Amino acid sequence: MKYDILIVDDEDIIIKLVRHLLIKSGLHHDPQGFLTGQDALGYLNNQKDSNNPQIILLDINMPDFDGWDFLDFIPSMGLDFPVYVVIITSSINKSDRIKASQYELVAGYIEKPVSMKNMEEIKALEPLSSLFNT
Amino acid sequence: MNEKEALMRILVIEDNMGDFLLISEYLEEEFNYLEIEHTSTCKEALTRDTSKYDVILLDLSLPDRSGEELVTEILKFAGNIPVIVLTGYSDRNFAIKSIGMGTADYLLKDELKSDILQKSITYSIERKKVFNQLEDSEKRYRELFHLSPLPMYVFDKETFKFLDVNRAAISHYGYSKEEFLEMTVFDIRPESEKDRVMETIAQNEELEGRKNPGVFKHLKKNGEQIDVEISYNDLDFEGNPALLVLANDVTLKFQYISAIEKQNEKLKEIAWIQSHVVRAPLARLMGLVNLINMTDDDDPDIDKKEMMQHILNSTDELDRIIRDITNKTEQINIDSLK
Repeated sequence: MKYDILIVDDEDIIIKLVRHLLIKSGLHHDPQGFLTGQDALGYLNNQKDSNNPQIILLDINMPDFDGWDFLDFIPSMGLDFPVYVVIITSSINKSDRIKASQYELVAGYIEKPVSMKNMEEIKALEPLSSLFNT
Repeated sequence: MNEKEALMRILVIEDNMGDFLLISEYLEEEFNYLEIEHTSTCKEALTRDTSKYDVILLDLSLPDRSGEELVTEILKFAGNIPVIVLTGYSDRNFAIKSIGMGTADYLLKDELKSDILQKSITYSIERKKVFNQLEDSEKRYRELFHLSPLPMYVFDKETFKFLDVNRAAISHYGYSKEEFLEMTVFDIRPESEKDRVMETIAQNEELEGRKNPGVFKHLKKNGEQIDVEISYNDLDFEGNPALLVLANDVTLKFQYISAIEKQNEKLKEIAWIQSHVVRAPLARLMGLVNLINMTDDDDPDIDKKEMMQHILNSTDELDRIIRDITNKTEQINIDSLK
């Protein structure tokens, strides 16, 4: 595969669930899970040698360093590879959806619970579809 | 003019019959419809019903009363009716003085002519009418001040001493009128507001009309602090620059607003909890059920026991959150203000 998938969520069981769905749907054979945004940023920082695009499935509500902080931080890192973020949140607030759409990094927005159907949606996302077809 | 056609009712208080007859003659020349009543003593005059006359003609020396005493008594008796003094040369100076006491005019008997008498009567009645109107309107304004349901007071712009307070202020603040008149406006305020009051008055000095400088803190006699919305006007009070102030107690209104704001805050909190906190364990539950549903019983990746524990945790969490919300809702109690 020419891309990596990261799952960032403060709940272990959600990572497990999303990982399972990603594998089953064939989107990726080994997605990486992170319980905090900082851990995920650390991982991204170590990928400087790789040119693989990174797809990040990002939870918004996390203690201390939340999804918004994560999104605000990424541009300052000067990463050489493309980063695509798909928000995965339990929020059903319109204001959160609107806020997410204002980030250039954000490619998609999924409301929990995550199901197989969402995996199909990810495959169809405009900025990502080219990755999956090659 | 049609004063000739109108009915003129006149009381003549005159002990000299010759003078009375002369006056009557002049009156008859000038007024077509005339009712003249005559008394020759002060005592007798006081028994009459003043509402029956348009004007009183008064001789300054009567057998039972004369001079200042007489004028005072008759003026009191006359009320709103003009009193014209008739006198000889010898009493001229006192006649002039009587104008200051409240008589409408004075006429010297030796110079009396019918047209002079007619003119004096007509002027006196008209002038008295205007004067009475003025007095009525002043009375109305006084009532407006004293009967206003909102506390109002007047204070001297230089000494800051109270000059007048209305009934609402007396009952609202707890001070008697006498106590108020011994105090300055700073005595009904916490010390910390003194500078603000001075600054406000100075800043609005150039402003015409009513000033609404906002809400100030006042103290009642019992020490209770209240919030009052102030509006005031410049006023000339018996020759001194003064301010007429209306102080509307908004303490309760403020308490209501702050209670409503707190309530709004709580409602917002609840709405936020609903969408973020409640939904998290619920979404997790749905995801877990979904996961169990789509995995085979012998999938090595999925431990059913572990799943079950997560489901239990989620339901416990959900229960706790809902109790929390109920708690918050019960804290909102705006009725307790009453």
